[in-house]
Amino acid sequence: MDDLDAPLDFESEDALVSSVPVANERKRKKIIGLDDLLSEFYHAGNPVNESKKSSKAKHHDSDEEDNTSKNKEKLLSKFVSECQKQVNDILTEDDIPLWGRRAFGRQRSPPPLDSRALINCKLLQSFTKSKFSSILEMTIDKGEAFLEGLLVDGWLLNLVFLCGSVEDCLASWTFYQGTLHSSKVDVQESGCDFWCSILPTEVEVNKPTVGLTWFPSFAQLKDALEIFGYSHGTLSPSASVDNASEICGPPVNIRCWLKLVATFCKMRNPCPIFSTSEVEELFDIIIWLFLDRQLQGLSFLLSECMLSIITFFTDEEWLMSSEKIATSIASRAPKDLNCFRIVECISGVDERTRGLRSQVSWQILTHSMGNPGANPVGILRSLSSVNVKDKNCDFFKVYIRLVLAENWLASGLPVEEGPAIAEVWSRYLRSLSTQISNTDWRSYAAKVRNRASYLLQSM
Amino acid sequence: MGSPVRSNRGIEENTLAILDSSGIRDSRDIHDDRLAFLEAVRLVSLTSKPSSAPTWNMYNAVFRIFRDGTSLEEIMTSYQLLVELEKHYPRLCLVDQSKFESTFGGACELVVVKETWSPFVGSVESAHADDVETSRSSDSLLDAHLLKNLVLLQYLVHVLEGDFLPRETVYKATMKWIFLRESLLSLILGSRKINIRYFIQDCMTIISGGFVRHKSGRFHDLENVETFLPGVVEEPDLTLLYATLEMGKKTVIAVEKLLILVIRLDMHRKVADIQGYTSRADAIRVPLMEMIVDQLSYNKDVISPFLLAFSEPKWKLEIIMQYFWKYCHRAPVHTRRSKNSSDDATFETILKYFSNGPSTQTLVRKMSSEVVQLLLAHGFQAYLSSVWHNSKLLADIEETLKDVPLLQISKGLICAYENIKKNNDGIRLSAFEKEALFTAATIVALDSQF
Repeated sequence: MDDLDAPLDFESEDALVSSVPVANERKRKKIIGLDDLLSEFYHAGNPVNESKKSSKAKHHDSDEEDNTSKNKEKLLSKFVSECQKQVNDILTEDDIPLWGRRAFGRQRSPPPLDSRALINCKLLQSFTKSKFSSILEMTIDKGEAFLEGLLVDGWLLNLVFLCGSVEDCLASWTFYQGTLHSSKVDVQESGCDFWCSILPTEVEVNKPTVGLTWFPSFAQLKDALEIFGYSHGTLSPSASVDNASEICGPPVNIRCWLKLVATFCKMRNPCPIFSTSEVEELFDIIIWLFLDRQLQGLSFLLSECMLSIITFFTDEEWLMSSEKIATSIASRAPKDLNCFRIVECISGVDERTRGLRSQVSWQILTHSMGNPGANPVGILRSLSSVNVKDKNCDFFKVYIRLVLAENWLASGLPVEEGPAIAEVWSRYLRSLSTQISNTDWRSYAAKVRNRASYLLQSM
Repeated sequence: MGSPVRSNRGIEENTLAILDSSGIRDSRDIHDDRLAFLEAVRLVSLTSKPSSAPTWNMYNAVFRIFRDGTSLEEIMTSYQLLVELEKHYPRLCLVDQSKFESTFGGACELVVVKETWSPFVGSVESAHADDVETSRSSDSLLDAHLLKNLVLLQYLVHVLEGDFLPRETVYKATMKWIFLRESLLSLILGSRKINIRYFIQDCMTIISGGFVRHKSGRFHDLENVETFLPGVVEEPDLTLLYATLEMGKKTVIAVEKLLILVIRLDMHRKVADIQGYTSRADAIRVPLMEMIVDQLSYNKDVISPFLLAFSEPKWKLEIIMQYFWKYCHRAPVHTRRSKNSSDDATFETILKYFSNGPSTQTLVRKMSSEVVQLLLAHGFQAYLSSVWHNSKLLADIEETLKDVPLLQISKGLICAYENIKKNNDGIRLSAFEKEALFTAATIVALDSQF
């Protein structure tokens, strides 16, 4: 008997009655409308208050009074902003810069492409020779502009499928002028789509669907990247832009470049465009692109590209290559927050990336300790030897090494020394979480303590 | 360490503690903590071995960062994490029974993992958080509200697709309508909270307008990329420019995908209606295809950009055909209830209407010559593309050109344009139409070579 309005047992079976509760609810709402009243009051209350305030303000009609109060206000706000500035200065004193490395400097202009061969390509010629060109009163004098239209509107792809093959001059034109060096975004995207469609993408179908005899080489792809301004990590992190009007950063074509690389890496058979060492180099490049803050919005694309690079290798090749990749990255990795970014951009969702993530973390860790090739237990022992109670302890360094070690061990302990490592590791974590006091306000001290206790908890 | 449920709760408490804001000094710390939390979830649920699915609270926290993220890095990282989690811990999965019992003959069973989080199920809290968020965008590190919504839209379409596709597979095998009726897509479309017509209009605007328009410019001129983001891109801020271009394109693809999913749902619904599987529990809704065709015929300026951007050939052709059928009265028996109404009507049939002067003239008068020409060109392209899509075995040219309809259709198209031109002096062809004719002529020319 808690609810009189609720339908009785037998009523719930009756479809007709089921509409009744709704009506009741509405009725009930009308009766109890206390909440509504309250909210209405608050709603209506605001304008009343405001009008009171404004009427109060109107009482200050003498100019003098007004001026002094304004001056006081000015002084106060000045004082407050100064204070805030000082506080900010104190706080940012020991701020560690965010990750980020410029991967791109000045763009160069692309080499000119001879488009004369284009007008003589079979595709355009077969039309000009046919009787239709006169009937339709169409002449193709501007071969390149017309081809661009065909590309953007999607006809070129149809024509190529129709002919069953792509002429060399068309292939290179769509690659350079269309995809990589066109300044028009729609041309770039269409050129890129064109190439992705004529190349086989599924792993099972290892045959190009159309005849293609011209493929870009690795050198050509790399040249294109250098024209975009890419410099292999040689730019200083804070490279000041001398000329403010100068744009430092790749053209938007970089998106197409990434998509092309991803697609090329997927077609390994029957004719891999790249050799394994070239693909290893590509991986290195992708890592540097990940470090460029300007390309943050493309991180999804970069990850896709990285995955397809990783799938390029066969299992045997991967054993060798992953180690090479990890060492090469570690030897050049900046020893600051950038090395987290490097580790974190390796997704770790499958067996290969999981292993690579661990390997890269391990390599960066040993390199940062100036001891590449050391054994795991030894590294952990020397980690533990740092005295956190020392006044000059560099907590930032400790923090970086701690996180690197975490990532290295995340995908499972090495089989041989597993128990020994686990023991040293947990002892290390315990000492970090207990020896750093709660009141230690040195930069990164709290971060180290929290991280260590987090890791200890989740063990 | 106790039962798995307990240890999961331990993980939850432990990871969520990273987000604890006590002792936080500034926004940089909050930013660092959020990223550290996302990374911790990734390690716990994806990278480490053995890994366990995040709890609902962890999911909600990730989703909240995705919605409230104040920097591009937070948004992108949480988005990627959500997509990868979805792939790793799907809410729906197909279990192939044929592996266990061959007697069922390849039947699949749908397994719904009810405990799995979904943005459509447990995110009331984050919806509320969104309201709070909009009011304090001034102190965010990056004002990229639109960008955030673009990414969110992509994610939601991704989730809807992940829910719909396995259900569709099972429905096709079992013909049990309930699988599709209970799909998220069907539930959302049936919801009264959404005005479907406006929703579809918005989708079409996204597809045809895009977010970013570009002018042609010199190689170095990045300023020449015009964006539709008032206030966001004042200077050539490259970070936002790259992000917007990429997300803009991806969003268009996602919305097209969404429309196609709805069209497919409608198609199955039609069949189910005829077979009598549907009941009054299924809300009545105008099929999407009709709505699109209506929209296009009300607003003729949209036809060209919409059809240019809508790339899936099969449904594009279908849209164009339905548009024509609105005006061609001698259409084959075409009622809403008949299943095969559009199947026997091919693009060839349409072209026949334009094979002689008088009937061409009637249609041109009804539809205007611009629209007719545009639709014919797009229809031709969609027809060609669907041919390639269906048969990927194009070993040699001769084989292809033996396909008589292809040649016939190309000739029909040229003939249609000639007929239109005969009766309408001074009519001009757009670049797209010229290219269509060029393609048709090339097909004819190639044929005559053999």
